[in-house]
Amino acid sequence: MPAPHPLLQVRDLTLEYKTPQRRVRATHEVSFDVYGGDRYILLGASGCGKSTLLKAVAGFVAPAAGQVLLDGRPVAGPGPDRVVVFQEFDQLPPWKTVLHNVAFPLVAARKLGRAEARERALHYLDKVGLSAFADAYPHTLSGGMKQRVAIARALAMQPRVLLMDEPFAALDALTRRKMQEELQGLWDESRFTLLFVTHSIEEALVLGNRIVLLSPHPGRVRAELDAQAFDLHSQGSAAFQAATRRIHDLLFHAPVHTELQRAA
Amino acid sequence: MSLTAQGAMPRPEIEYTLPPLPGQAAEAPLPWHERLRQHAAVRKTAILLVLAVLWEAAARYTDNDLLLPGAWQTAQAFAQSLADGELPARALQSLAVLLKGYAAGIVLAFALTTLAVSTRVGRDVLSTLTAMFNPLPAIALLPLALLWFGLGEGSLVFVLIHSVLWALALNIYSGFLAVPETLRMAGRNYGLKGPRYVLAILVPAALPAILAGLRVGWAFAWRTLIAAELVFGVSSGKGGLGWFIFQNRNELYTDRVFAGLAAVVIIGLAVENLVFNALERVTVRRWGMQR
Repeated sequence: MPAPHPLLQVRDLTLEYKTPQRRVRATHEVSFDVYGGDRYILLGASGCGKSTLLKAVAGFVAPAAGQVLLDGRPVAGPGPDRVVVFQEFDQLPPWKTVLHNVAFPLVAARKLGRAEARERALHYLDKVGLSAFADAYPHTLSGGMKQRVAIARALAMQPRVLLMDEPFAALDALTRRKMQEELQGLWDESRFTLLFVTHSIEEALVLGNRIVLLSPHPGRVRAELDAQAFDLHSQGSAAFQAATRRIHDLLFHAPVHTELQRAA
Repeated sequence: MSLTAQGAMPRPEIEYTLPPLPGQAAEAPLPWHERLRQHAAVRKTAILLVLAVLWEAAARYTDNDLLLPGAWQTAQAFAQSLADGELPARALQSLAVLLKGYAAGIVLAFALTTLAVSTRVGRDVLSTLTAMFNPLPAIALLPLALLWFGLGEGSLVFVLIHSVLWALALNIYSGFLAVPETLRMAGRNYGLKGPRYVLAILVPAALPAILAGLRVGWAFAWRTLIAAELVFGVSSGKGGLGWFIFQNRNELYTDRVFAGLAAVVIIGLAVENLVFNALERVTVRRWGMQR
């Protein structure tokens, strides 16, 4: 059973951005609750505003209407209690070694002194298997390793919510699979709260325990599903196939049609 | 049912066990002349030697000490001016003024660009001012500076600031603009704001452009200073390298004029190779931001 108070509440959130010509609505009155320890997935096709939604939770985008509440308090800008792992590899400052990349935010956010920050950074680098590369500069690492550093950096901050914006989308299929396993392993260890954006149905089912489906243009909540039943080893099963098909239909077919499918 | 191509023989599946690899062939050192050519200093010295030989040949061909003294004669005049202490004193005098103007220009450029990245008014101010003043040659402001600040260091520093500020500010600003959005968001995610954000994220991320700006600014400043010293030369008995050149031209010591020019060139080369290249090596190249 979930805890009585949700950790993160998104309330009727409408997000808009402006181009020089027009105002574009990215999401329209989106609401959902994330509880502590959730692996909460935002799933949708491109253009459904899921990344903008994540940026609003992170505090980079101000809401046009509605609000984001963390521990009951409205979010008022970016902060170290909601750390983001981005998709792009250039999220790591290239002028810092791997170790400093992980340790610097702890010092910058005035969470820890230099010595403790270094210790904690080493601990989390060990967790993602990069201890040997602590003194390497990011440009010498592969894409998967860079994402591991970004994950270690985010975990070391011990945020209230860990936000991930398609962190594995730019990786090759084999590396992506491995990273999913590692993320699962890290969650099993420390049970952080995760809000994860993806456009892959399989990734959503495998990683998440709860999935919000967003319809595109503008993003609206199409469904909220449970994915507790699936993990990395259930990918071939009939139930997994059925869930994949159901989500696929919810995302891409007209509502009436979906009702028929569900009844069938 | 079967998807096997018609007429093809069924082929067996094979799995190989991989034997351990034989040891790697030992490393072989490169021959000495190839290793020598790896050093930029060696290559550049060779270029300088070739230029000196060409110069000497041209001077011998002209055979007129007043118009074109040769490389050897210039070297002698250079050594002599160095030995009697005049050239080092003049160079130091020039460098002292130069560093003052350069440093002030850098500080102002950073202040202006920090303002420009944080406010829209600041951005408009910067773009308008650079568009107005960047094309204006610093030396054209010298008469005005002499009116305002008198015959002295103040005027020199003023035109130096003018020559450094706009070029550097343009470079820093375009460097700031080119910082990837993801990196900016990561920095703000740490909770960094204001000057800490500029110092910890924008400046290092824009360092390739900033270094390029510092280089251009240094060259502009050096050029402006020598030109300004040629125009009004001496104040309170102390002139810089430009004055040294001007004075010796008046007295038709052409070899010493060349020695003065050589000093300008040598200081330029030294700063370029020792200061800026070293700075680049320990920063942007080490970080993989520049090849």
